[in-house]
Amino acid sequence: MYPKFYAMFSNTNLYLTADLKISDVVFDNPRILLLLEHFGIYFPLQEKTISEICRENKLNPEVFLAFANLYYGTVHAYPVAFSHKDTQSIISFLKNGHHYYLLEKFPDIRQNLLQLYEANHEREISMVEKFFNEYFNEVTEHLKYEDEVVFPYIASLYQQILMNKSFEEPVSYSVEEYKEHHNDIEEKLSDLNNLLVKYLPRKDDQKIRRRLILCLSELEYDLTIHANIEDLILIPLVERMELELKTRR
Amino acid sequence: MSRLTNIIIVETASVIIEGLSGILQRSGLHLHIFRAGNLCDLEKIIVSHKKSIVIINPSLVQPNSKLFHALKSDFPDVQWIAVMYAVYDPQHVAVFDSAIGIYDTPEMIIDLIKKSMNTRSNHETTADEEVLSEREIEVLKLLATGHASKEIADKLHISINTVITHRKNISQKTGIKSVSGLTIYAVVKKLITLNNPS
Repeated sequence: MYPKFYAMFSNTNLYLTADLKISDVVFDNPRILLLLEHFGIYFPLQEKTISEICRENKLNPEVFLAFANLYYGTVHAYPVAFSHKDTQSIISFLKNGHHYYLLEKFPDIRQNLLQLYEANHEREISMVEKFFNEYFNEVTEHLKYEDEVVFPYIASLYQQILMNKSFEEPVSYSVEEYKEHHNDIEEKLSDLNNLLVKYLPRKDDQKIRRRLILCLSELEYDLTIHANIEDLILIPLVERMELELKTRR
Repeated sequence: MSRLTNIIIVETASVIIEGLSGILQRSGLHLHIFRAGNLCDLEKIIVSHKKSIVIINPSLVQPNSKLFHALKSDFPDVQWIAVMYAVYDPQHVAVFDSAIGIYDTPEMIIDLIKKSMNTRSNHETTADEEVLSEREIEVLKLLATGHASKEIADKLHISINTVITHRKNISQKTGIKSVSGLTIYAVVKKLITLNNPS
């Protein structure tokens, strides 16, 4: 959703292809580093191309490119229909994203908020802290729901396809509920940004507030792509897998 | 939060897609470009991007005009632009808000997009100014002190739909949607004071 970041780093309208050197892509758009981490690809990147990196990590380059192009603000609604064989790498990518949010990004934000409160010891700021904690709990719950209900369900679909079984109705899964969560998550984050940028009275907190807002924008950027992957790639894939299993009966 | 305009190109010919994308990307406008190959794909994108500008090949509409009209009425904030490289019955073209011709210059195309962006933002914020009306402030105060929409309606002797409209306008003006976020806003603006420190 936010090619503004991309526009900041890049003057070319790079459309990624598998023959590009991965380090060149990183120089062009450093935010790709998070994508690499979510795929389990780490430094040093050497002189490798995207297709080499994918081969080493047993990744379908089509999956890599579709995700990477999302980091560049390009969404392809139709051409790539991923197969059930890609479910594992997609889910592992999303799970790594969850780890990043819960273990790295949210603690960072909380740290920044604490410092903001130290600098600007006002009632409003403590309310923002409370707001963030509520938001954090909601997100944690949603991510837990994905980790414990949605992903295992998808993994079980995959197993059913592999073992040539027929479709088993899910017990506690609903796509609708799932999508509703996403809206809430984006909404609260946007509220937080609005309060920080436009309304909260300033004291000696310019630097720390700036750090906090940049930190939030990094989270927002990755979360948006994360939600896009789930809505535009994962859910259609799940629907196709369900259909395939249902028609087997 | 993002002020980016979403453009959805609904087209099957790659040269047209790439050509349009190229022109739009170089335009300097803040756009996010999606691509869809048919109306079903378009629907998937549009549900999460209700305020888009759709650039569409009319020949993709005709085989499924029922869905097209459903989308048009379900998503009134969408601007529909036809991309014309064949001759169509004027009646079929009239359903679009405007049209791009295949021989149009990039400047003409960008002008048209700019115009569409303006029409959109105008009716998006008719009561702009970003200043809350007295009535909106009343609603906000009650909201921030923990009243549900139904209670607010009873207290102010207005219908629940009116309360919902006020809430929408408040969120549009402040950029804040959640009740807890609006509560903080109300405290910052000194519209309410919280006696019980929690």
